[in-house]
Amino acid sequence: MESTQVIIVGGGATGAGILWDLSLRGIPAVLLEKKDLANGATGRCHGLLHSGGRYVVKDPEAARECAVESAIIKKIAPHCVHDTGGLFVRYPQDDPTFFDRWESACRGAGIASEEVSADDALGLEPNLPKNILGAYTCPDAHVDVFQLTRSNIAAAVARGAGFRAYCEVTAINIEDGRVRSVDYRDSRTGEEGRIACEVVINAGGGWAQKVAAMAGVDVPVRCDKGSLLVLNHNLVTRVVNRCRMPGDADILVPAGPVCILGTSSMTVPGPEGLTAAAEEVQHLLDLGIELIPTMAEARVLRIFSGARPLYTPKNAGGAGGREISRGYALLDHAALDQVEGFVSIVGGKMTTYRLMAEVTCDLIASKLGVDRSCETSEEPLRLPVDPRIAVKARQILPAQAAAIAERRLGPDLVHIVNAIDERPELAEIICECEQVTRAEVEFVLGDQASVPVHTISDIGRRTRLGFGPCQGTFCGYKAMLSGYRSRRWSAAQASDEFERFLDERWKGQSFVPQGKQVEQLYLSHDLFGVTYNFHDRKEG
Amino acid sequence: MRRNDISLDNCLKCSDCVTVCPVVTAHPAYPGPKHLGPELERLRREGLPCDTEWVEYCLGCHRCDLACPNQVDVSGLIAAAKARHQKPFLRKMRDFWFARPGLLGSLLTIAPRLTNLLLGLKPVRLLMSRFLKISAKRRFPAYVAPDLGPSQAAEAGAASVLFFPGCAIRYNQPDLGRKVVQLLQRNGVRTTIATSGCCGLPALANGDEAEAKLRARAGIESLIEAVSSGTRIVTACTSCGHMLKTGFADLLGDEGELAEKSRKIAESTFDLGEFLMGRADQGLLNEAFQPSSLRLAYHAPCHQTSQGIGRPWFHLLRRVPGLRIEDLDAGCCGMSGTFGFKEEKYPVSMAVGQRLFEGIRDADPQMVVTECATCRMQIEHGSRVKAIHPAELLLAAYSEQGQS
Amino acid sequence: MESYRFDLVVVGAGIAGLTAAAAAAARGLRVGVVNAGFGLFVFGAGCVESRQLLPNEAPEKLGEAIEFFCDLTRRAGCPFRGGLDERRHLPTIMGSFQTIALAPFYLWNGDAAAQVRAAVVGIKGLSSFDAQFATERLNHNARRQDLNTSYVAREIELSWMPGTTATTLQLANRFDRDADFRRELQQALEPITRDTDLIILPGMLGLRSGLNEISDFERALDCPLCELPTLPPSVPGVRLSNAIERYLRKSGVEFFSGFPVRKIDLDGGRCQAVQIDAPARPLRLVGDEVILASGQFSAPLLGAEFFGVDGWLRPITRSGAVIAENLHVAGALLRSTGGHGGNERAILTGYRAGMSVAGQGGRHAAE
Ligand SMILES: Cc1cc2nc3c(=O)[nH]c(=O)nc-3n(C[C@H](O)[C@H](O)[C@H](O)COP(=O)(O)OP(=O)(O)OC[C@H]3O[C@@H](n4cnc5c(N)ncnc54)[C@H](O)[C@@H]3O)c2cc1C
Ligand SMILES: Cc1cc2nc3c(=O)[nH]c(=O)nc-3n(C[C@H](O)[C@H](O)[C@H](O)COP(=O)(O)OP(=O)(O)OC[C@H]3O[C@@H](n4cnc5c(N)ncnc54)[C@H](O)[C@@H]3O)c2cc1C
Repeated sequence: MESTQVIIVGGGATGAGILWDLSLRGIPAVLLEKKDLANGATGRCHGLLHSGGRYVVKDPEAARECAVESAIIKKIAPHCVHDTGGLFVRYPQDDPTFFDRWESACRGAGIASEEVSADDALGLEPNLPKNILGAYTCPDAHVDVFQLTRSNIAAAVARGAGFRAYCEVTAINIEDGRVRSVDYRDSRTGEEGRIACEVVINAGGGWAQKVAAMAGVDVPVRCDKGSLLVLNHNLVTRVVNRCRMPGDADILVPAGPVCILGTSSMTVPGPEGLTAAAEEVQHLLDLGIELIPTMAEARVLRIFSGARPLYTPKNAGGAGGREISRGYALLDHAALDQVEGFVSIVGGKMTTYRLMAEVTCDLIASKLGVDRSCETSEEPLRLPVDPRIAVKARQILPAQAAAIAERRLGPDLVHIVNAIDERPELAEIICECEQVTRAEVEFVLGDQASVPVHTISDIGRRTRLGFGPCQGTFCGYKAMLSGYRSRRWSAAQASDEFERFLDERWKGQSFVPQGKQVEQLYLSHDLFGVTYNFHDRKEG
Repeated sequence: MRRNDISLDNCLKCSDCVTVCPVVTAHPAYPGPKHLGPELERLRREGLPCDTEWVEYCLGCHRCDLACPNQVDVSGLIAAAKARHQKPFLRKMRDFWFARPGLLGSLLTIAPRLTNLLLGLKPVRLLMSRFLKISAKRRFPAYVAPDLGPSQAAEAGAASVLFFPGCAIRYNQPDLGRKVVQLLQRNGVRTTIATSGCCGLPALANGDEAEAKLRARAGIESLIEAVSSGTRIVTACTSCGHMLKTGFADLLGDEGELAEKSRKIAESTFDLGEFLMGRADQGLLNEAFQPSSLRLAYHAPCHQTSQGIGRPWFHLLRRVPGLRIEDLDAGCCGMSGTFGFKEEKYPVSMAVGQRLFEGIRDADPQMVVTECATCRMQIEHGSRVKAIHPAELLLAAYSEQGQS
Repeated sequence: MESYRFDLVVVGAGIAGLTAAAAAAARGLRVGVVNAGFGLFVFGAGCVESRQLLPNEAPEKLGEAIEFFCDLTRRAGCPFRGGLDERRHLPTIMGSFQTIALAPFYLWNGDAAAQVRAAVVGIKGLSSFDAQFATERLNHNARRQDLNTSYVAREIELSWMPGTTATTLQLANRFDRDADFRRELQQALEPITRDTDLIILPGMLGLRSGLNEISDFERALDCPLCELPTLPPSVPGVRLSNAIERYLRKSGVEFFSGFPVRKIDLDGGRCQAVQIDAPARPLRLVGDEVILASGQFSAPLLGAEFFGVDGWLRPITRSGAVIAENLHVAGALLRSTGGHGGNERAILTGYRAGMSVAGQGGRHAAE
């Protein structure tokens, strides 16, 4: 039987961070993820690397954690971070006493902030409403969550760790009060298997309760749904927060070429099958327009929802979503439930994933008797790009495509450059919106990629292909052909993959109530459903 | 807000704009309007380096804007990128002058004969080709001492307009300017000649936004008074007309009072043909045309099409009895003002014009009629058929009765 | 505000608008067409799938409308083939088949039910098309659907390429402009014609070409051809739009292209004018009659009152009152969704509206 020392369940930021931390400590581990990386809350969040400002009044402890952790992430993973800075804007309709509390709390928590006048704030962000009272700066940033997760996994894999996507843990086998192995099922092929291990780490986010149940223990997790609106282009160049007690739709994050507005908050039964109702979308938009009035005319590309996994031990009572601490909990089930070798890490934020991984791995290391302390706060997640390769990339690709490829691929850029050298036709841009080359798509589809892809959506999570205004209508087809031409898929498989991809992209757009995206969606439906008689829109 | 601030969001990536772009047809490596416009703008707003020399190849013909089913300001986005584009020294020098036909015209018409002599000399043209990157294959238009005749005193009861002549008429074809005045006079309209300089469109086309803004400000200054008292501005150059109608407001749209004034000027600006068609609508067009046996072909300049006024001149000329006129309907001529003069762009310019030249050859007219001075240059250069402004023809159609 | 006067103003240059304009112009009306770009049919080259129309859509007039449309496209140099009772299975770039009753001649040869050997030809460096992929899927789907054509994939190389890759649009432009290119393409295809009965090419045979050019090419090749509409910009559809518009211009129809209608002036139970959003100030087009064929997203032009149409395709309110007696609605605007049968409905209603205002078989005749 296949075996390893540690199995991690869940390929979100937390699980990926744990894999990397363990690999630095020399502890053999395999990460099993039931879909693709960042399938859970990680891939459905704003990507705001919190400076701590958002929590500073309500939860100074969490804020301080964010302040420290965000500084570390900026240092170890600069390629994932767009250090935009942020503003906390004072709107006339908000409680003025909060402004002072916010300012002094920031000083207390060590969050660097400066006051800017209304005029200066408008100079920085011309799309803010003209009637704002002023603003404060803060070191908020955007982090590309897919890149962050992928980089953690890739770095760990390079050190010998294992990662398996589309591999769902179906059972945790316990003998004599000890974890012995896990069973898994390949969710694409249905194939099943078992891996022996000493420790299982439950990093299942919103699924943590379900995962824990496999080990016969209860981890009370409440899923708090938040919906986000993706807008076609950067309406702001820094993170814009409303300076008030955290509420709905009061953050706008420039996230690569798009910007993301969020979020709502409501309790849901579980992390799957989330949808955004029309009223919820309208509610978000109304508030968004208060934040940035031009949003009234801007284009919403898609709407998606994620579930925050909130740890709700018995004594937390029935408070609403935002009242429960955003802090994390590390549960050693040996001590709590007499299951040796089973650990859960739940709650927290994407921003604090590294810290959560650190405390988890400290516990695991002590259990396994490994005497190596955490290095993830110092060790860069990725090697720098060879400058000669970067220069070469700029010669063979348009400026923006080279810049994007360099940022995304890092040292792997060399594969793209070499591939184009050999076959110049690979320089073709197949996703126009996000400027992804065919070389890159074939690279992520190929064996050299450390985090393999299985579907066209997976390609999107590596490259942003299909994330732009056409939402995969045109580039999805070309990505399908790339998969076919590089012999990754047979014609039938390629066609099936494309069908699934269209479905998934159409779903995300179907929540958009009005505007250009509706027309875009019709175009996609009619093109593939009617002209190519390929994939009919599922009504309803 | 400027239209292009948000219009990039309207792009559905349908590529209709690419199918109508004349540069795409002529120069296959050109990435096309969709990419250079909304696509790159979106990434530029992310802060990515997006500069590319290709933006220099946009003709500013606005066909992409017209083809776009979703009203993306495609060419406006490209023009903004052009304004940010860094170009090599020699071309920068050249484009400095190309951006300032007013300044150039006033210098070159100090001693027009000497100017024309020099500009006609082969060695001079070779030097210009080498050091100013101006194609030696092109001939400069002749420069003429500016003389548009006197403005006419307003007359009680008579309509009056303010004529905006533009640089080509002022410095190269003042006789056309005088004919415009006569034509208006034949229609009972008194004409004042605007003292304005260049409209600023050449500056915009050459990526010199600062100069374009200066010109727009000066233009507003010189026109606003007349406009405020209800006078209409008439242009006989389609590019000036296009600029007055859209360019001022696009450039100064953020500047409160100036924005308001630009809008006023835009609302009061009429292409001469459009103006006369309006008179015709009211039954005020003097239709005492003499029969003519001319066989003409009409070319609609891009900046005529982009004004959204239909084809007034085509219909006006058809009112001349016996005159036969055919619309060539062959797209952009490729000249685009100063574009065709540029050494590196000359071949593209001629390749774009190919369809038009072939159309002229097939139609085999006695003359080609078109409103734009640089279209006329290109047509004569590429097809060897004489090209003429429609106002001249219309005026000539009255002439049998003698001048009034 | 300046104005132009017409017997009929048509808003929209999709299949519905063009058909309406042609029908009225053919009966001597002075017609102006306003549009804000191509019609949606450019994506699918205007193929007509014959579906069941609703009884209130006067399906009995369909034959006449189709006949008119076929005649129009023939005059325009891009003739349609087929008929309402025909069914052809035309291949697509997805390797599926679309069931089609009528299509432009350059698509029509591709019937999968004809027991032939067909070569799907790819071009080295052509993006967004893969002959091998299409072939595999076509063979698979043909077997599944009991269709008899068998497909083989072939690849040709052309010396003229704009770069390391090309789009169908670039090749089409070349096809239009360059006789040498056409010759080279023909020579490259010739060897393939030896062991096949049909050549299937991605749509690339010119944007300005028509029956003459493509038939010449086919004759020189001595093998039937068919094109596949590709991802946008789809050459066969743009070609059709260009051809019809060119023909209508020559027939005296005046086009106002590129500016949307922002408002239609309704007053006293009539549509007084349509206002075009031209630079500087709106341009007013005054028509004795007005046909609105501006597609599925343009219903707001008719205001909140708009509920449906009467027997003459005039817009009515929920209570059945005619919104404007000289206004007619055609095409996808009649239904908020496009999709299946869109072109068929557009031809029928465009034709009916055009005839109605021309006073033949229409409202005036009846009155
Ligand atoms: C709308 C929204 C906005 C947010 N915005 C921010 C923000 O801006 N900044 C911030 O710092 N935080 C934000 N958060 C919080 C943040 O997203 C989460 O706290 C964080 O991503 C949790 O990561 P995780 O790895 O613990 O869980 P997840 O990302 O949910 O990962 C759990 C993974 O486990 C996998 N899994 C589950 N069951 C199994 C199984 N049986 N076998 C194998 N795999 C399994 C799932 O597929 C999933 O990929 C936001 C959350 C939401 C919902
Ligand atoms: C990708 C795709 C593929 C399709 N494939 C098929 C197919 O294979 N078979 C089939 O039967 N149907 C198909 N359809 C549907 C079919 O194309 C449409 O239903 C049909 O063409 C509608 O024609 P129309 O003339 O009514 O409108 P449209 O084609 O939408 O034309 C509308 C016209 O009005 C203009 N316009 C719109 N608003 C304004 C305004 N405010 N002012 C001025 N002008 C305006 C537009 O510019 C355009 O010229 C497809 C649709 C799409 C999108």
